[in-house]
Amino acid sequence: MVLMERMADKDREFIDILEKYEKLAFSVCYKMTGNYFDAEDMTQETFLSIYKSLESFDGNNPGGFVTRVAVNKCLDYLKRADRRAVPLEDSVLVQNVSCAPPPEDGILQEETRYELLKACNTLKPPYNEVAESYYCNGMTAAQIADVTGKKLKTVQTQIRRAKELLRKKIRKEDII
Amino acid sequence: MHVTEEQLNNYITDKMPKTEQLKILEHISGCSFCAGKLASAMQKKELMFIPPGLKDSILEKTVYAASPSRKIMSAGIKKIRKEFWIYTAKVTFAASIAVMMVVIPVFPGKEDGSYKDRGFSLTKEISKENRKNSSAILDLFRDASVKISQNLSETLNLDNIK
Repeated sequence: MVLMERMADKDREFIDILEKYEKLAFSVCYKMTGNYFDAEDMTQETFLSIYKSLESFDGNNPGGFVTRVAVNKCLDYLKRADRRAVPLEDSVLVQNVSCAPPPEDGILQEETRYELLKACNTLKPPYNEVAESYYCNGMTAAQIADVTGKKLKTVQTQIRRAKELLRKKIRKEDII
Repeated sequence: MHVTEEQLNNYITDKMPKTEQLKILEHISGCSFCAGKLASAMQKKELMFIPPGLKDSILEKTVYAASPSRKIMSAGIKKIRKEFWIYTAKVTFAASIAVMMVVIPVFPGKEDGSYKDRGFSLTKEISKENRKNSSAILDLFRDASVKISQNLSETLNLDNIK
């Protein structure tokens, strides 16, 4: 029973950290990788690692803790992928979401969304519409299914496929 | 040596040579203090929204993976519980029929319709015609209970509960 309570505490602490620092971790990963989907993977790895090592975390400076893990994950990934550790300043924003340093506050999110939209539009139907609704308009799979009249499983499959296509497209055109 | 505020600001605004960026990132990867400073500096800027589905994916691989029962609870336990209660209702119904068959006299009594000597509490006198009708009804109950039992044995098969 005590063990169960401790496990529940750990889960609660993790969920708290996840909710509080998910944006920070993703932003750090995006800044380092310059790629929307790579940043997504690294953010996931960051939190998986945090979950495993949460018992050794003393609770001080959780933002720093998350950032340090994220930086480590991204450095490992960049080295492993034999990529440049830091994206170029003049990295080309192809039809993807390559690294776009925030010149002004508030612009990055819009710019990323715009680049995502452009990438989605390069896909063939029905993936372009599904990807746009999901990634750019913030709709859930259930909402898309409701609006389009498709089955939920069909929409989920199309989202998965659209994501694979976007990821391949971005990697292929990523000349960094 | 820790990373300075100026260096952090230059890194965030991308006004730093690549080699120096790599150096400070290598330092931050092993320094909680500077990682905290970077976190604070990043949080002063607009942070990005995480991709849709990412949070759920992380939870699936952490909290829910560690507590599969919780995942089941959130995903399909309601359906399983509903099925369970349907089966329970069927079993209860069948058991009630069985009890009725034991309690209600299924054997005809004496010619005069009296059940007194059979040990049952029923003492009501019934006519021969009524006894025939009663027997027919009880036969129907008996057939129904056999069918219900067969259905139950099929539906209670664990393979049906997924």
